[in-house]
Amino acid sequence: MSAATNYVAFILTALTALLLPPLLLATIRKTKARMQNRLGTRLFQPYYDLLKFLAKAETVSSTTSWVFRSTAVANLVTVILIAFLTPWLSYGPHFRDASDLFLIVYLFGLARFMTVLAALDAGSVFGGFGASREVTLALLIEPGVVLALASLACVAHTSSLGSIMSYSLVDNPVLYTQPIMWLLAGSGLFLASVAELSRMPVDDPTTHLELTMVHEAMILENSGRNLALTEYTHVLKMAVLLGLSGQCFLHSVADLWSANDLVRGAASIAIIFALTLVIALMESLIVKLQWRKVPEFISYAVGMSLLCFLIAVGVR
Amino acid sequence: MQDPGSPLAATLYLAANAFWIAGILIALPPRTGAGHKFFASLLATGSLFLIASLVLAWPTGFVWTAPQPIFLGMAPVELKLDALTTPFLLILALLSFAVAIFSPGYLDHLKDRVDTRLYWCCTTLFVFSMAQVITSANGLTFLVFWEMMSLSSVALVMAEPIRHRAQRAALIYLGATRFATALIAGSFIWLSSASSAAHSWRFSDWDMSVHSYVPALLLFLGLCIKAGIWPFHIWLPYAHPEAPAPVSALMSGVMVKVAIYAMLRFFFFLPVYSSVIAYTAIALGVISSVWGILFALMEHDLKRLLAYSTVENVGLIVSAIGLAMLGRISGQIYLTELALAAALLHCVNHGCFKGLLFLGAGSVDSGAHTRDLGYLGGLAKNMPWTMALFFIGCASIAALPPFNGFASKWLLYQSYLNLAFSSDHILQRSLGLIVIGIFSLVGALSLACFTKAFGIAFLGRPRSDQALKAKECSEGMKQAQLLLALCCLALSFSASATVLLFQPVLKLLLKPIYTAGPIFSIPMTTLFVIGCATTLLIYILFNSTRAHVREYNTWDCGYGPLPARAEETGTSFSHPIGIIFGTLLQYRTITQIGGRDRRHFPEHIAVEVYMFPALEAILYKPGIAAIQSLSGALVKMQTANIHIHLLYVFVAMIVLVCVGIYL
Repeated sequence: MSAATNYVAFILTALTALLLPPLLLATIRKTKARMQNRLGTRLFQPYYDLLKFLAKAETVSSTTSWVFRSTAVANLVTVILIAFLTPWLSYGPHFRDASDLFLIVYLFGLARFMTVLAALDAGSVFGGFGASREVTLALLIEPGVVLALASLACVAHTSSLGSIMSYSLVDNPVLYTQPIMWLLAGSGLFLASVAELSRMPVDDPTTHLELTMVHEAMILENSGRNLALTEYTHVLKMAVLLGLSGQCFLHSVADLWSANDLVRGAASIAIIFALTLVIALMESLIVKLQWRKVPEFISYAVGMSLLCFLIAVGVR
Repeated sequence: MQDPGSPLAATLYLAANAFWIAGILIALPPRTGAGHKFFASLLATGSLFLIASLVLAWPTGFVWTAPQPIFLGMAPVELKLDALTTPFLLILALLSFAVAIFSPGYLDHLKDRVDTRLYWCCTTLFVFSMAQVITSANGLTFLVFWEMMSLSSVALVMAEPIRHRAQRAALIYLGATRFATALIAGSFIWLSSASSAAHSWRFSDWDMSVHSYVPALLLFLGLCIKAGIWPFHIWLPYAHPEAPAPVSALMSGVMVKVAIYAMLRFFFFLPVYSSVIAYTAIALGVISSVWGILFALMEHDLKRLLAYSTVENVGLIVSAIGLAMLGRISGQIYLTELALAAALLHCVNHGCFKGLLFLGAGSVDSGAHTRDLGYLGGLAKNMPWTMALFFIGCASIAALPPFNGFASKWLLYQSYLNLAFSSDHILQRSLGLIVIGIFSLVGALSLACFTKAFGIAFLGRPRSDQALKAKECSEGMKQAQLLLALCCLALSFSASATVLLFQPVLKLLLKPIYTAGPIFSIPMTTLFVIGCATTLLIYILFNSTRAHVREYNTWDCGYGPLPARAEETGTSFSHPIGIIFGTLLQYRTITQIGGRDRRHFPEHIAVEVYMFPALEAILYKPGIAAIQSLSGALVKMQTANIHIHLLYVFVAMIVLVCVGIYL
């Protein structure tokens, strides 16, 4: 890829990362509202919410230290880095070495580390609960995510996600012939993302019933600008994770490997919206699981990854 | 003196040893007038000389044989410094320097509880003997200094002999280290009697490829005990926390690495083509890493938590060494190099951040007078320095980019991924991917463990009066931690350069087959700079108009401030994970709710969490019971009757004569 196309890719990714994420949240809300026979809010309400939070005064607990105050910015920067390194859009910039899958998984780890510490920082009961559950969820999810991606990496003979998901027959002649593997990896990643993004049936992002929540409990102390940054970080993370599993699904379609960039780009955006709709439908139709039942849900994600792993070991 | 390398380097090395020996000897007399500063400066100067010698000798090294009167009976005291010893000596020098700065302030807090003369004597001896174990060039030198290292550390575990826990820990540790030495000595005797030059003790004369597995297996077991590999790790979480914090740092940061060093020395320098040992190393390493981090997560004593995490990290290193052996046997050279680089880099990294964390725990202990997470909390307010430096240590050990732990974890993942796609056997390919999956679980667990250690100890509100009144540590203690934290940061941003620096080591270990050497290809510094620039940009964007920021209480649902008791504790933080891994951990929760109307208005609630030590009960209890009953039976022979004992002597003589005639 030449330097000029890389710049264009960079700008396009930046625009997508800035504009798309709140729209995903809006899609979920609107769909849920329609499913419940409500009109729902305006489509652009999440953007207004973010602007409103930015303008508001901020209340900070006097118990907190610099950890709490720097977390929102640190996480935003980490997730922005991830958004530029990960091939979650077919037209994203291509960094061969830096789009390493282990780097990306551990960058997510860095964001989690800061979030959990910020939750513990205020010394609130809810923050502690949320933090404890977050690390538990993470340890259930992580093997599934890493195993799915590492299986792809094993077949592609590289750990660079940029190379794995490049629609390039030169780079990955074997992966082209394995649509099932892409489907399995995609579904594994999608199920893991649902848990990671604190959506139903693992977590309920809309209640404030303390006993049930994970993510909301952790960010209970955030307000004003801090909350705006945290919310935006969360939706950006949602776009990246759904985009990543979406790319896996798209790679299973043989026609897309030979399609031109415009079609692929449109398909990338479309699949993110499609997955968002699936989440919205799940949230409307499925009840939240009891906390103890969550491992069973995540075992489906790990199961998909294990099947993916079996194929990877078989085909090499 | 005979030295193919630099004579100046050898002189500097001997000078370092001279400083340490002076330290040991001056501390020996009962009423020595010298103070902490004096001993600390001797230890620190020795470390500086060692660093200078390492720099000068890199990468050729030198050989030094002690002059004639110093002789070990069958072999001279022979020291040899080469590329492989350098990374390990470097961690030793670095940590002993930090310990020398840290100790005076720390000992002031211990006051009368520790005999300072004994402390300095043993610590200096400990450092001195570790350096000689690493440089020793023959079996006898190795064993002699290995024993000195073990026994001086046992004495240091007993530094506070009044405490019952210290006594117990020292006893368990002594037992473990006895066994390790016995196994290693047995293997050495076997190897030396079968060496190419008959009865040579020199390592370079030994050839492990010729013989059966027995000596190799004995050696491997002995080193596993010392390294704290599952299931021989049980001594480690007792011994490491009981020693004074600087000594714990040395034990976790360097002593277990000495065993790792010996593994590299014997299983690579001497050609051992045994896949049994390779697979055993991988299996035990992986089990140790999961086991260690799970138990670390359940721990509520800060130092025990760190000790268990050492088991995890050593497990990672040993599994990398096992993989390197496997790669070498099957001729996958790049894989071998990757795995070796991962093991070496993780040794250096772990030395730095584990040393930092143990010193941090010591600082917490001296400031708050407890290291129980249940009584800590909110130390961020009173101990800002310790907190910031401990934060760096936690982020490093949790392998978060850009901190240094990530580089070695990345190399480890890469080496297993390489096994997964370059091997011809389907089983080896599956092994590669399965281990990657397990290591990602370990990674998530270690993140949980260190968010717990840091978050519960330093953040939130103080859970006890001691934590509320905690004081920041003294200048020296702060500087020691700062030094190690800076080393962690330096290693983070020079990871690719450090991996390149390991090339002479890899060349030495893989002499005939060495090719290009692995590289750490992630542009970490660039990413970090971009990250910082973005942070600055966001800060300027959102802080240009200063919105009103109000400080207020933590959200309390309108009930008024909640007591600190309502906060999450260390135990409740890890409770969900304890339940998930309940069978492995033997984790039990006993809840008692009492009172007349216990459903609505309970009068008293008690929750007890209990972990049954299954490994000890199943694996070690029967063995210990057998030894005890055997020694009980032998006691009957001791009649305290002179005639019977004379009879024993007579019978023994007759038996010996018969044996002599027969032979």
